[in-house]
Amino acid sequence: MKMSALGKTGLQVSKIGFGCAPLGNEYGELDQAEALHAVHAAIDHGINFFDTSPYYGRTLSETRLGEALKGKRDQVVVATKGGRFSAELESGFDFSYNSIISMCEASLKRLQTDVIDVYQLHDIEFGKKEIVLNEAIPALYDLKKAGKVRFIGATGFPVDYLHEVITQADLDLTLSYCHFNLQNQALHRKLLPAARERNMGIINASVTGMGLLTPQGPQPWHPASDNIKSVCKRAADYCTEQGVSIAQLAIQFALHRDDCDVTLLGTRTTAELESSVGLIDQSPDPDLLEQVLKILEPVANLTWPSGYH
Amino acid sequence: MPNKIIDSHVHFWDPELLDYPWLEDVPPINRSFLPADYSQAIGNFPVAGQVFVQACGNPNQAMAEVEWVSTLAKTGASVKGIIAFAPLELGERAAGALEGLTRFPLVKGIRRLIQSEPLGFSTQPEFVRGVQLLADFNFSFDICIKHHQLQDVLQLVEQCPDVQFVLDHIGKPDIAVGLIDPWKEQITQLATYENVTCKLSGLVTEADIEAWQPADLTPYISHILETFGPNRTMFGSDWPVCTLATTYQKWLEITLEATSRFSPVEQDQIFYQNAVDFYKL
Repeated sequence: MKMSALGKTGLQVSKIGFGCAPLGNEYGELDQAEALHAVHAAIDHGINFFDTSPYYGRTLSETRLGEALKGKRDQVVVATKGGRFSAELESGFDFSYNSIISMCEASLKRLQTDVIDVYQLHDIEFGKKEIVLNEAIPALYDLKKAGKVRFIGATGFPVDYLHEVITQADLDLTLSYCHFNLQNQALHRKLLPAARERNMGIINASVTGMGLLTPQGPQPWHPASDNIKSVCKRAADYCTEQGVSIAQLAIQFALHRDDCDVTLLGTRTTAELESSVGLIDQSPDPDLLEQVLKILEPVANLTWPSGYH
Repeated sequence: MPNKIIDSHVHFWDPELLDYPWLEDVPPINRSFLPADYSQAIGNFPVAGQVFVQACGNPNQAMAEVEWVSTLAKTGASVKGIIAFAPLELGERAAGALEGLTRFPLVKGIRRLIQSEPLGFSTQPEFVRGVQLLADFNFSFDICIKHHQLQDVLQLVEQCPDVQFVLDHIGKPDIAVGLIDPWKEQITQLATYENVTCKLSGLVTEADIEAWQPADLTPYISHILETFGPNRTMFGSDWPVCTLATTYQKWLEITLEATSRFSPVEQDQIFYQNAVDFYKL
């Protein structure tokens, strides 16, 4: 497994991170044994970065990760998040100071650990900016001071808003999703340069654009416009005709560049995991990539609304 | 896919707090259903808020139910409106109860169930008078009937031009046996009244709850969308009652699919704006 330095944290992390949303049954039912096995198989393949949230499976993902890491906690870097607990646009989020502190305490228990390596605010665009800046981020500083967490960060969807927040705070890392993949590379616009300038760690997630860039297409709740969905489907169908899964090309595309420290992959099965790990040394077929980028051009960097910023 | 959803028809209940005798007939949902359960049920769908519709079976607890849900809203639930019970069959004498409900800013409308009453209930002069009163209080009326009561409702609506009505659960046609007439014709008539809106909700529990197929619902959904159109149709889940026959997410997926031919603006109306405008959320 290729490793990289996670910004200024001093942590050495695997280039592929294990996205733990599937452990919360977010992409289909997984039983307890399968979930634990998925974590162990990832460790066996050299993955040491695990990213979860109380939101995934409404605490199920964290609980399962905590269970799976019994006796293996020292081998891995555990990242989780606070501030979000459901999809409800208002009641699902609380970025107040007290909420972040108490959510962190609850995560420590579920993860069965004394310290969380990476603690991040989850989807900050759903909070009021002044609450995020004046309450949530100070809560992160205090959690770090108290030794409950080692490093702190912020995650979200709109990259320019993330940029705005990280430049007004002192964070160790940031995580952005759906903004560095075949369809969208807006991460490189402002967020990535600013993070690098500050020597922050940067984590990329959703290399398939939450299912847009998969042969089967996204789930019904996917917020992209019909235009984006249909163009992505055209690209996916093209790959299928060429005998390649677009998901595979999407993973290769994200992994073969060194832009981000960690690329999170949400694998459900060991077979998926092995296939993803196998892709790390393969660069994408240049002709296929060119064709796919051409098909996706009409929707390149197009995005969709998320939150309030 | 709309980027925000108002769910126009949700119930919460706690049988330890208030009386719900009707739950004894439906064991699978005879337990408490609270905002935290709802948050789980919606999965990843971006719900911006709910309209709570009365469910308590004890008329004497109507005010207590409103107080309870108002408290839920203050303590984190995203309830944007409450549809409360009021004894409209009392005619003018219902004014006191309605006056009392105006103290609660979240109360936007009234539901007095008709479905379990005999034919003729909703056309008796006292009841009609009670419904007419709602206009004075700026409350809407949720019509909850079985399909055989549609003729009565047409007469009721005819007599209440100043009241804003919303038909719950598309008038509960007998989807399980595929009965479509005279429901279809009566819906066409009802939709000619501009002050009537329709909730796209409650279909799955009128279908064969064990063995329904999405195709069973299609003729009913199509007819509602043709007659009421995207300007007067609003999405509702009827959660947790819907869980007797499906999941929240499955029902939402069916309605998204059924409305996918509409423009993004029209979809936004069905899943968000119509509920906001109708209930003044």
